Amino acid sequence: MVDMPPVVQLDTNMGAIVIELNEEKAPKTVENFLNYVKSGHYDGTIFHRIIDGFMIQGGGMDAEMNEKSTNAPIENEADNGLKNDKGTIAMARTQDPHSATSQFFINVKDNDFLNHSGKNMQGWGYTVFGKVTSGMDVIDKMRGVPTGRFGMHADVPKEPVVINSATIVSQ
Amino acid sequence: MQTFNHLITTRPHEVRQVFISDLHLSPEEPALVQAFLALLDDCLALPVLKRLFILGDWFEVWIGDDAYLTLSDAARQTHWLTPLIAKLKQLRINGCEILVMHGNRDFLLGQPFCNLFGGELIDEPHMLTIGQQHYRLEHGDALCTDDKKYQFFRKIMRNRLTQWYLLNKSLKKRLAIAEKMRQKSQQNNANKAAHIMDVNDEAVIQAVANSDALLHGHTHRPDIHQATTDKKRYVLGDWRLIDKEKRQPTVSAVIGVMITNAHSDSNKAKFELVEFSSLV
Repeated sequence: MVDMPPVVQLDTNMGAIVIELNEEKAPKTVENFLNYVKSGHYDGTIFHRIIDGFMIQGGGMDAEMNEKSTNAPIENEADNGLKNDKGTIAMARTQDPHSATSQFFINVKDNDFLNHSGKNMQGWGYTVFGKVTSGMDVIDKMRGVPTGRFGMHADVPKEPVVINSATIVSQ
Repeated sequence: MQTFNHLITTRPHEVRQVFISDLHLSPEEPALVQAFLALLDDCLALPVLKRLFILGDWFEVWIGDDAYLTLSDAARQTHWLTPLIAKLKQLRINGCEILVMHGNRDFLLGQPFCNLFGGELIDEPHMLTIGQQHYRLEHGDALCTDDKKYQFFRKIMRNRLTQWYLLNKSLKKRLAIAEKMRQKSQQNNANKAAHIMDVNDEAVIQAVANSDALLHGHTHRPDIHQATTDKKRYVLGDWRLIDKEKRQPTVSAVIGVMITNAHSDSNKAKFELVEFSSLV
């Protein structure tokens, strides 16, 4: 029997987004993501950084913009050949290549410059670990919401875009 | 004129867009490259910067993206363009769009190079709304219609067939052609009257007809000029190394900024020219 890839559904206040994960290419990242899904970490988090023409980022802040505590950071798997193309999901991180925890983003454009180009600070890139298989219309709605500043953060939606729940559809 | 430094230290939350042109970067003038990197550091520290416009002649010469793209990883590591790409990429990741327009010197610049840092090559003229005003952005060389010889050259060089022909020559050949063109242009310009190398009033009136203001570089005459009796023509400056002989040389340039009051809406945004300077 063919191994089916894991599928996760994000139910948001703007509609459902279904994501197929690439366990084969990004095993550690997928395992990490599924752990957060299982523990309920993503329930009630928001897409707190939305930049049209770039990406929408979420999975780390609650609706009051408080950062949730996370598990330990994971190893960067951006050298897996997967590209930051429109509709793919990748891990967000700080400037340290191996600093991803729970925050992820969905590319709303082909963002070549986020791809892996070398094992150095500049070239590590951002780990793609899956793609949206349904709900791109929801994402198209999200990327158009009005945004502004919130404390130290720029590009924060004025009305919270909330992930009500994240559930595993198949594993 | 207000300085950029004063603006970003006193009102960092108001700077939304930055406009530069005529940097004429090349490995022969590292001071200009350093100054550009310093500007990018300033941009990286701006909390709400959304766009960086480079309105032409970013580079002194550009013989094709492949000159950089075909380099080995090792060769890229030490290339003068690499630190610049790294900073631009970080700026893009921070959420700032980088919009690049061709100039008369770097007209062979392509989207593949811009993809290295998530930049976008934009066509001229580019229309931009600032507050309630519609600005027409262009490099500016097309406005210098008194220079008939140059306009003829421009027409040929902007032709896709010419560009295709050039890009299919070897890198070595292209370097030689570029050097010849540069020398010729210097000789020609030395013999040209100053007014020929400035904009033509008629060309300006035509260009501004469907907008409220013009914004361009190229002429190296940075200032707020009148385009018509009621419309302005904002001219960005070329990047100049001054006090070259002194112990602390400075690079200086007139650049543009779009600022909004932190608490007001984008309808109140306005454009200003400011003086950027950096010790190198």
